[in-house]
Amino acid sequence: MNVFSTLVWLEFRKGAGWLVALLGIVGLALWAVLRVQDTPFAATPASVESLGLRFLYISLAATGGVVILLLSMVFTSRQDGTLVLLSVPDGSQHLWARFAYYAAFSALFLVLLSVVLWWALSRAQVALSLGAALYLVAYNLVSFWLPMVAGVLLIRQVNLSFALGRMAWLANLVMLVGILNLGGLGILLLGNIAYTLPALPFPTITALGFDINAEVGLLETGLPLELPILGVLTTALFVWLAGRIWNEVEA
Amino acid sequence: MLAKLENVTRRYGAKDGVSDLNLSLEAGQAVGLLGLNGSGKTTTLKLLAGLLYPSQGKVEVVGKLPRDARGQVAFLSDSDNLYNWLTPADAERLMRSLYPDFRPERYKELLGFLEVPIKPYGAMSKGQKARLRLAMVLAREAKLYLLDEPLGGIDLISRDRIMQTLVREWREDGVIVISTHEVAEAEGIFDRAVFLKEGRLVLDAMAEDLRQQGKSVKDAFLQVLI
Repeated sequence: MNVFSTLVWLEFRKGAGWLVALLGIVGLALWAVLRVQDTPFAATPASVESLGLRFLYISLAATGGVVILLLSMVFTSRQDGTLVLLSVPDGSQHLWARFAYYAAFSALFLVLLSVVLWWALSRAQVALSLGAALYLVAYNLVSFWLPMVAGVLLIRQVNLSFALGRMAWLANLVMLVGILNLGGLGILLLGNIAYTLPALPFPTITALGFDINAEVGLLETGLPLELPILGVLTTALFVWLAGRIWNEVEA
Repeated sequence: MLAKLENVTRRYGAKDGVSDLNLSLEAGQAVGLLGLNGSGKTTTLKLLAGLLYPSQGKVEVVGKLPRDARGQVAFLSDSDNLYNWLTPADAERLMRSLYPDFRPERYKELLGFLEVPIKPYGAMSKGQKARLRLAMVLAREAKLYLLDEPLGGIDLISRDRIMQTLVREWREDGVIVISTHEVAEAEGIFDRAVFLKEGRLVLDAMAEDLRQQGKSVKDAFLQVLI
């Protein structure tokens, strides 16, 4: 047994209940989507309502998933405040293991939910291959979810580190303002550099014989490669910072 | 010399946790760190464990900064600090991976000797919890064992078991530092007694020397600290 796998196992043991809740949300979404009557995609109110309802249920499930993920990260990290056995592995190992667990947690959730979405679309005769759906999930995961997970780990680490101090609120405020500013800078940076690298292709989605991407112009522009690259860099920065804070504050 | 504190002061805001403390620990000793509540015992142990930085002075463990010597320090905190779902088997898995010097056979022996039940930590009594934590810590082959109040607030039978275990596990190449204010019960296991009062070292004596003067550690404790 190596250190990393044990630390990931530790995260799983701390938060297994939340994982069940997340899978429950996917089950609920599937149940709700199944209850919507099948209507082939067409420019009719019934068809739009049917597809709209399915998107609504899946969006609600995705929002519920984010909430469960955040709650899980907050509540399981609370347990760590009580473990005072001296840690031989340093903070970065703990944080990377924690991140790996939550990344896998998010990936599993998003993949299952996207399979539900893909299935709902195929019932409405909107053609999007499963591979293409998973490709979009991977893009979303690397660009948005993983930086969010890393950001929450960092915020939580700062929060736990100053939890005993009287000025904890100030540290949390500074961290929140810092993260928001960093997000703003990221958007500005992305605006300046987007599409300077070759774009990633956008998968083909057809309905009633029309290529939807071509209609909205996404096929030509594609997806900016800079967004997942920024996502990976931000994720690495946040986890590294959280690990450094762990090391500093433990002593 | 296995560990030392040189002119160490640790401040908490305006208050000194320990003040100008000098202490050296030699291998083969069982050291009692004695004092009333708030005398600086936990601060001293945390400084040795690398859980606190000194505000002034220097702390060394096996010739290194405490943080760099963690692989050789086994620390038992005084707080009730394990996950509620953790069973003795889970604890073994955790310790085996995180601490290269953890000895599973010794751990199993200790669990048996300390009569630790096979159930989750959250379902154990206070004494059983203390015994499990002690087994986890003593199953390591560390050089420096730091035990913070291992006898605090637990039943008589658990105390007895823990003391027998401490005597049984004593090793010539390591040093055990036990902080306690249960002096009368624990005095049989100390080679050396270090008395702290309001963060300052007030007496550092070998238990044998005290006995030759016709005093017990408890007598010295009462004389020096009260």
